[in-house]
Amino acid sequence: MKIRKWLRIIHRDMGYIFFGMSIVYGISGIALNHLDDWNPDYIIRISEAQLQDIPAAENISKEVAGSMARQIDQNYQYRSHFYPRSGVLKIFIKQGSVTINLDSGLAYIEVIKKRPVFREMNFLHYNKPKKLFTWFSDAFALALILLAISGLFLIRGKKGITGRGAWLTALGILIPAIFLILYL
Amino acid sequence: MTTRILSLSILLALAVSCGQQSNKTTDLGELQVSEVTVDALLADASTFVEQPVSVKGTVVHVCRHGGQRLFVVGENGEDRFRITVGENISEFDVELEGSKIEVNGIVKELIIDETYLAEWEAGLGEESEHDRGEGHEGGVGHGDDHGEAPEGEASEGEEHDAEEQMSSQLQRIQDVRDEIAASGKDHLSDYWLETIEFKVITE
Repeated sequence: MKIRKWLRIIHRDMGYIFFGMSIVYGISGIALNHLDDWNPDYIIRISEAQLQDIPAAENISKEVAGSMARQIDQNYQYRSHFYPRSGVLKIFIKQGSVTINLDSGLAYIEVIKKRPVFREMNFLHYNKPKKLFTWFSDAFALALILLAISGLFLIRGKKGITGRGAWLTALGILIPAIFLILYL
Repeated sequence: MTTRILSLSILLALAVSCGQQSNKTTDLGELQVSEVTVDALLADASTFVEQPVSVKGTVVHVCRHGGQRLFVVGENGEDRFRITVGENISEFDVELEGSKIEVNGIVKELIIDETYLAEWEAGLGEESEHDRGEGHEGGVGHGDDHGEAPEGEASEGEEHDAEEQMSSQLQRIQDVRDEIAASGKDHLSDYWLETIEFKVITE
């Protein structure tokens, strides 16, 4: 009887403390499962534009490169430029980059913005803070084990672990086990 | 109740302070750091392997998936040298693109020989999603900047893609074997700089 009381306390308080972490790992877990479909860290917009009156490479100064970028969008703020290969100019702007074929004038524009919320959550999910956060996320992992075990014994009777709970728990173990058998 | 709120606040504060540490740099202490140019590293990185060096260059690309590596260019702008994060750096921000940076780090070497290629070949069938996501540190085409494949049963299209990917990887392995044979040595080397600390140079 006393053990069950303690399990309830552990389950309740661990649940409160690690609510935030559960949300972070849950949301970023979905995001990271679908990396082929999107980039959860950045919003990247690609577009093309045709530039007119392209100067010769030797005449492209910082000012000229800046004005070429502003031909596409007045808000583009020049940062630097270089030539990745002959006949190709890459201009870095505050918003991303513009790569221009100096022969054709065709510009390939990449505008990058940090994806709010997901970027921060992924940062934590990957344990990029390292150091002390490693301890905190280890504590969270341990708490998940405790939450899982204590959760089994919260309720007695038909809906508890000796009744319906046993079937549902078995199902939750069986599903990942089937995937292991099929794919490992 | 108050105690619990207090505990939660402390934990939150800890998490925030940990996050803020990510961009801090480390004192190099007693390490004797050689100043080198990107071109010198591109020309012959072998002389600097496992040595601390300091290099300045313009960042032309930051990995979009996780920011674990970036590339700097030398004077001609065409050849790029790879720089990876180190123990003290969590990730490189994509906003570094176009900036001039000074990086202190250790030059690393990956030896690509027959043993490495055989392991690569053997691992193709069972390549983990993580490997496909981040690629090998060596970066000889063994992995890329793209992310993990979605889980679940593969459709016919996905199986076809997997076959194509396998065939392109096998071709890449053969190309590397040919490169090794043509080099007259028994291996190729891949070099990169592992960051200890870095700063943006403002001009």
